[in-house]
Amino acid sequence: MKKHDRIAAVLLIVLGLAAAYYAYADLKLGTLRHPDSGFMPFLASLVVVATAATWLWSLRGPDPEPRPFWEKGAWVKPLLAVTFLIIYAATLEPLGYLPATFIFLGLWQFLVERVNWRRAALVTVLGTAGMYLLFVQLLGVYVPESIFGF
Amino acid sequence: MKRFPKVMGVVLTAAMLLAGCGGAKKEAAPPAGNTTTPAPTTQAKAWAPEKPVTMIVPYSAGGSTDVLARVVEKVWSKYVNQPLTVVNKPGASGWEGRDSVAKAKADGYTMFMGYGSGEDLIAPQLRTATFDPIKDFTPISLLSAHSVLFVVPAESPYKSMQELMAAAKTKPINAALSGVGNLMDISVRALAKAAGAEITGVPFAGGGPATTAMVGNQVDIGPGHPSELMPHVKGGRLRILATATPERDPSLPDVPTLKELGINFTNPGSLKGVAMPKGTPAEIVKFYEDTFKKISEDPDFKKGMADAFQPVIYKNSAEFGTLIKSTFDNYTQMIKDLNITVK
Amino acid sequence: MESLQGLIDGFGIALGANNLLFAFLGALLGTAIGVLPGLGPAGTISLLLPVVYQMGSSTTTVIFLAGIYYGSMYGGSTTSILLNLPGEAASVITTLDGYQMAQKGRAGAALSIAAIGSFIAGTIGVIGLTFIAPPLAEFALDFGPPEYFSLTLVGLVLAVFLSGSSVSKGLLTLALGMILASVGLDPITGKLRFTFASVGLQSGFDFTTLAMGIFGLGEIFYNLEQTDAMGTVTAKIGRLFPTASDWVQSRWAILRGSVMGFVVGVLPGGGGVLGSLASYAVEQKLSKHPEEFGKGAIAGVAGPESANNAASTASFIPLLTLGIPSNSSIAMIFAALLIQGVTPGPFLIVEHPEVFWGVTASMYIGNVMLLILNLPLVGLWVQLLKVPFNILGPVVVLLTVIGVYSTSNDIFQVFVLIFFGVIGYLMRKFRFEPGPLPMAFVLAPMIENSVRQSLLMSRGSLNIFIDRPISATLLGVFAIMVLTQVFKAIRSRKR
Repeated sequence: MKKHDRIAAVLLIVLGLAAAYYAYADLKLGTLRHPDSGFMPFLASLVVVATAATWLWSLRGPDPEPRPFWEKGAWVKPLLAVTFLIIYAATLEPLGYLPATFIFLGLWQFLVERVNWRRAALVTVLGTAGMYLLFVQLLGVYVPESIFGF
Repeated sequence: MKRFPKVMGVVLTAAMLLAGCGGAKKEAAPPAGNTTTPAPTTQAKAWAPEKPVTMIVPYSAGGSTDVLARVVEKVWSKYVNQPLTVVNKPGASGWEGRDSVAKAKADGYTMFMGYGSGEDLIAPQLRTATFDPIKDFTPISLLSAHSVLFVVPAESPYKSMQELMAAAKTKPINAALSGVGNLMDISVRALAKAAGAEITGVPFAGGGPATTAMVGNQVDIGPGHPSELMPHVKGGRLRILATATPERDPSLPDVPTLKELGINFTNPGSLKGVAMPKGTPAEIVKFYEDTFKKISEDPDFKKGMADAFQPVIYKNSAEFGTLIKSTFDNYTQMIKDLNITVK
Repeated sequence: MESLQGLIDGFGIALGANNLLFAFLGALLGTAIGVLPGLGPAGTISLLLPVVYQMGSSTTTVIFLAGIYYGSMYGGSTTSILLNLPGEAASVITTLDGYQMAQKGRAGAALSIAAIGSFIAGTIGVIGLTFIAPPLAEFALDFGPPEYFSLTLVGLVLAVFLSGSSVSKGLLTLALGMILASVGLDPITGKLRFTFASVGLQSGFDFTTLAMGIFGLGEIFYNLEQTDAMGTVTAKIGRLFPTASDWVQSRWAILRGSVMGFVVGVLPGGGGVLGSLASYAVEQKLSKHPEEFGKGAIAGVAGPESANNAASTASFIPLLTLGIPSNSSIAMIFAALLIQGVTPGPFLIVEHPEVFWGVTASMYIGNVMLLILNLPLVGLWVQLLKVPFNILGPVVVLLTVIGVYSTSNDIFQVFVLIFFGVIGYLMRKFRFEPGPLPMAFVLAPMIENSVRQSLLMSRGSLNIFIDRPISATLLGVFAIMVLTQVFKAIRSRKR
């Protein structure tokens, strides 16, 4: 685990330094009399750099239990979930709430959870209908309409 | 922009009917105006909205512009058949709400309250804005103007503006501001210039927090609108020193104007008008112009405005447009005179 | 005994059929919107304003709207405990131990103790409102920018307590939260920060989007990796009501939380979070088993939840006694009163005693209603945990998406939500406790504005923070807390 932690700590240090530079050069620190926009972001960035460095320091020495970041194949499901969610967000307005939600739930049931198809179909249909009835019909929340007009 | 939840509406209406039948408690209730039948039908062919109309308030709820919009909302149904939805979009100090109207369709269903407030005319002259304060909007009508009053906390040693200005030469004086680059900011800078001394403006996140700082005696002086300050003046926590209006305010006859005190700064106040996106068709402008004229003459509206310490000042689209342009030019001059820059 | 007489008159008004009905409707509606993530009291009150104008009575209006507001505080803990989905800042603290309790099959106990704690705190809050409102409001006015700075500084240290074992990781999360909070238009200079020419980022990140992403979505992504079994039951249900020992562990936490929440809640401008934070930290310090905090300690739910509710009642004090609205929901009620011809302020209690006392009395009644309403619901809510993860997971995702979309009407915010979901997932992968991040996000604007205002007021002199007694006291508390931490760290190193 230490290897990945070290990479993360170094990345955070770089990120903190970049933010500190941006706050200093672009936003300006100002003076004590007139603290400017970069004042707080600069201090916060320095804390990021300092604490990330402390973290890196605590990781020195050999790794007692080298383990991969993801157990075998464990990354597949989260990655699929994020991808489908991005697809959902991208299709929500062009397709409308009902069709987009239907597709999203279907993808999730069939590809992420991989339950048997009957159950997946049932959840997809009922889930979409339930969300639509509760939020759109009952609570009157505004959602993008589909080409079918609902 | 949420539609009004149907179920909630049904439940509430039912509850109110029930309560009405059940013999409600008698209290000092204002005369119920909801019995009047809506919209006279004199001009059958004229444009009228066919779906709910959205009024964007580019400030947070409970502020003076929001209260104005709410008073309009209260009487709206007497004159228009479609409901009015008031939406607060306070993001990015009033820019976000205005920007969304500037980019909305000019179909008569989106308007905003608070055109001419000050920062919408001032700030685009100080830094790049995403909209043009004059070209991107169609003025509909002016409904009110909120003048600028200068107040001190009740505990303050300064009994008059002259005393305060004299003190500014020897002592640090702080003023609470509702934001940077707005009418309040300019007013304080003008005051400081007249005093020939430094007055430090301390910006707060809006009129409410700035008023709280004045009431709490955290600052020496503060500019503010009557609707925000008068409740505290009445409550004996704030004292009015002067008004920035050209003439004395008829409701405050004892308060001197800055001009009388020899300070060369007058301002009609923060204009509170309604505007729609540019290119709104004339018949739509006509419809709303007339609607707001009727609203401005409605007794319930007048009472609501008086309760909220806001004057009713109606101007139609053309008059309002001229006023906006001259106010804009006036601010251009002031920015030059006071040498204001924002990095 | 003027207060007592006023209260008796107030009960006469509040017990009228009409007012009783609207107190109940407010409580009911408040509970409903509190439970649904993304729908908050401010948005709901704004939607209902045109309807309430027609009510005619300003007392009934406020009874109804206030019911929605404090009712939503009761409901707010439900999704935090069951689904790790906090809807507002104070509920973030409830997720820490509440969600852990749910994972261990103690959701019923957590929900019940939250409801009971909220009831006790709400009632203590109204008692405070009845008897000590005016002097307390005076005290709140003494808080200027320097005092807010020192107070928020204490709040930030308390937020590190949420990070569990590693102080440096907690500080890192805290600092990241502060940077995230500065994204958007700087309220003081009007400069754009960290927006990189994106219009969507100009108004900054929204708290609910951030919290639902980091907590709700992050947890779901992480769980997807853990469970291979299909359709497993998410958690056991266990008994619905707290055991005797739960009660013993919670009762003082509830009382302490109520008092702290009430006192801090009087301050206009976001006192609620600080009260909950303080309560959590105090309970952890006083507990015989501080190591259980963050792993499902019931006092960690009872204390902050109580503080949250006491604060929501206390926030009516500046409104009713000074005419100062302390948050957006209260500002809405302020507007409603003003339009109906009632000016909130020091004269309210003299000019409109029926409003002041009627509303105060209705809050006693409303709290009882909410308890009766919420306790039976516990049985219903815990059934949610029987829903298998393959259904519950995507439904929670859909809930967060519709919540975010409906508040902003902007698809960009949904992408922001997904981004925070990924951040939340990575934080879990790298064993970071996410708690301090949303806290810093809420506190950062307060601390930044107040430090800049203070320095403008003092012409750049730092003495302003130590010359003022309240600020100096708070800084003393801050120094003691930091020194004890440092001392502890040195001692543990020597060992």
